[in-house]
Amino acid sequence: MNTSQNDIMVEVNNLKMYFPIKRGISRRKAGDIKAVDDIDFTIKKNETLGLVGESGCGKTTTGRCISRLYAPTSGSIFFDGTDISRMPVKQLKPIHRSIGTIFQDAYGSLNPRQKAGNIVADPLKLHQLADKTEINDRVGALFLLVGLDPEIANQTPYELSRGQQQRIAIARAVASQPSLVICDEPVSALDISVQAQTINLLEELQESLELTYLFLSCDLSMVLYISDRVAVMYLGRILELTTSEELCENPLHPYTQALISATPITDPIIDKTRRRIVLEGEIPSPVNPPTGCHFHPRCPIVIGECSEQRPPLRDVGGGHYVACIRVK
Amino acid sequence: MVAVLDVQDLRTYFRTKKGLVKAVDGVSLHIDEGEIIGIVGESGCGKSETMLSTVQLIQTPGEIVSGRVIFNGEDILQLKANSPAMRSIRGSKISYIFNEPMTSLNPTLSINRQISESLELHLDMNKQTARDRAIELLEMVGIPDAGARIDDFPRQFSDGMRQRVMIAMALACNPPIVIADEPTTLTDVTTQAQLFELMKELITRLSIALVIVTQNLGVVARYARRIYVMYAGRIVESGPAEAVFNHPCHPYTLGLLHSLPRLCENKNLRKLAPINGVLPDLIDMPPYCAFLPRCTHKTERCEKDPWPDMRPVGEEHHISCYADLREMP
Repeated sequence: MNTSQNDIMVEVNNLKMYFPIKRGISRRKAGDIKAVDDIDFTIKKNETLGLVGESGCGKTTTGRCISRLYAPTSGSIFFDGTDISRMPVKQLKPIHRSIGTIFQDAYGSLNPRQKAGNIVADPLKLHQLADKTEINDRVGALFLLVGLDPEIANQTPYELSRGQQQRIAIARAVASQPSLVICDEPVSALDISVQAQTINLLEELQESLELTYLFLSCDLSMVLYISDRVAVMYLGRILELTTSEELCENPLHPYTQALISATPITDPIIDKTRRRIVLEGEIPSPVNPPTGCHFHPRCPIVIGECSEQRPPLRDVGGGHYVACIRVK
Repeated sequence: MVAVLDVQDLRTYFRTKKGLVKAVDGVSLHIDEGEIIGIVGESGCGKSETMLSTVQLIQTPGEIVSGRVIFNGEDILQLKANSPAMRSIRGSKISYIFNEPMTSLNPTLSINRQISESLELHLDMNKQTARDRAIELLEMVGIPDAGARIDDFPRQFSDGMRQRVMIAMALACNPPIVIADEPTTLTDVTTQAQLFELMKELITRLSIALVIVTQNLGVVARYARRIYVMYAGRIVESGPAEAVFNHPCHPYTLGLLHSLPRLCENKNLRKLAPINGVLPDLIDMPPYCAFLPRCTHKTERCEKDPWPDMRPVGEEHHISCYADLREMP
C-alpha cells in the first residue's frame, strides 16, 4: 500500500493490539488476547471504509486504536501524515477533536444524568470551539443538522427514543468538526425503519461536512451498502479488502464467500437459488489462535500448508487484496 | 393441512400507570402440522407477547383479555395459567427457545439436570433413562463428545453450543410445536446459519411445527413457509413467504423491505427509503389504523373508518388495509 499520498487520511501499518491476561496474586502475565494481530490498511479522504466481521474479530479494537482510545501494542497509525500510534496522552487532544466516534450502544454511551443539549455541548466546551454566548446556538444548529427538534435539548437520554439517542450520539461525534468519524455498529440496535433513517443521515452528513467514515458492523448487507471499500476481518486479521462492488461480484476468500452465503436476504425466490456454505465449528479463541491462517480449521478448501504459514494480504489485481494461498 | 395451533382474536392488554397498552389486539393466526411460520415486526409490535399469550406466560400488569387458542381441539386459554394441564402443555407440547441462552439456562445446574428435568416431569422417565435420552439429544444437536459433556455446566459451553443445548431442551419431549423467540439475535451470521440449518433439519425429521419470532426479515424469508407481519399489536399482512416478500401488499411491509439494503446493493445505486416518523406509542391508540401517520398510501377512508379487518389479496395472502398496493401505480 502506497504511502505519502495526499488523498490518504489514515494509514495503518502492522497494527497489533494485544491485551494481557493476568493470573494469580502476583498478576503474572499468562498470555495475550490478540485482538488485532498485524493488520495494514488505508482510509482515503471522503471515503467510507467498512470493517466487517463477526463478534470478536477485532473491528471495535481497530477503531479504538485509530481514535487512540487504546495505545496500540505495536505498529504505526498515520493520521493526516502524522504517526499517532505512540503519541503521549497529553498531546492527543487535537487528535480526539479530529476523530469523532459514534459508539456501539448509543444509550450506554450517553451520560444518563446529563441533558441532551449538554451532551452535545461538551465537545464544544472541551475544545473551546464556541464562546459561552454562542454555545446554545451552536448546539441548536447541531440538533437541526441531525434532524432533531432543539426543544428536546432539555431532556435526558432516558426520555428519548433509541433513534433520537443515536442522533444525539451522532451530533456529539460531529460537534468538534472532525474529519474522520468512526461509526461502531451505529444502527444494529435500532429497529429496521429507524436504521434506514440513520443511515441516510450519516450519508447526508458525510456529504455536507466532508467526512471520512470508518464503518464497523457485523451486518454485511449494511456494510456493503454504505462503504466504498470493505475489509473483511476474522480473528484479528484482515482476510480480504476491496471495493464493495468487487467484493459482491468476486469474493475470493473462502471466509468472505461463507459470510455472503450465510447472510439472509429478503427475497425467498432468489434465496433458493443461492449457494449455501455452512461453516463447521466456531470462531476459535483469540488467546490461542490457530497456527498459519487463522481460518484454516473451518476452511472448506484447506490444504496442508495452510496451517504452517500466515498467508500475506496481497494484491491480486486492481486493489483487490486477499490473504489466502489457495487464491491464484 | 390440519392446524396444530389455532389462535383466534387474541387480545392481551397491559394496564400500566400511564394508560392501557393493547400489546396484542385481535390477533388470529394458525400453524399447520410440521410447518415453519415466521412472525416479524419491529420492537413493541406484540410478536413475542402473542406467542407468550398462547402458553399463558403473561405476567401482571399484563392480562389476556379475550380470544381462543385451540390446541388438540381444546381451547387452552380456558385452563388456569398454573394448572397441571397447562404446565404439561408448556414444555412437553409447546416448547420455547429463548434468545439469550446464558440467561435462560440455569448456571448452577448441569446440562444433564436441565434437560432431564422435563423428561422426568413430563415423560415419567427415571434418572438413568432420562440421562441416556439427554445424551442422545445432545448428539442430535451436534455437540461433540456428548457423553462426556452431559455433566458440564452452561458456562463451559460456547454461545453457539449453549444455543444448541436450548434446542435440545426444547425438543426433549418431542413436542408438536416449538416457538423460537429471536433464537439467533446475539449470534453471528455463520453460527446463525448453522443453528437454523440444524433446526430446520430436526424439525422436518421429527415433523414438528416451528414458529420463528424475529425482527430479522432475511431469516424468515429463508426458512419460513408463511409469514405474519405485525404492527402495533395487530397482524397487518400474512401469507406465503414468496407472496409477502416478493409481492407485498401492505404499505408497512413494503416500507420495511425498502428500508433495508439488499445484499450487494450500494448507496450509489439506491438511496434507502426509510419509513417516515416513529413507532407509535401504544398507550391509548387511536381507533383507526395505527400505521396511518407513517403511511404513504393513505386513502380517504383510513381516518374515518376503524382499523380494517384482514381481507384476502391472493391465495392464503391477507392484508389489513383499505388500500391495495397492487392497484397503485
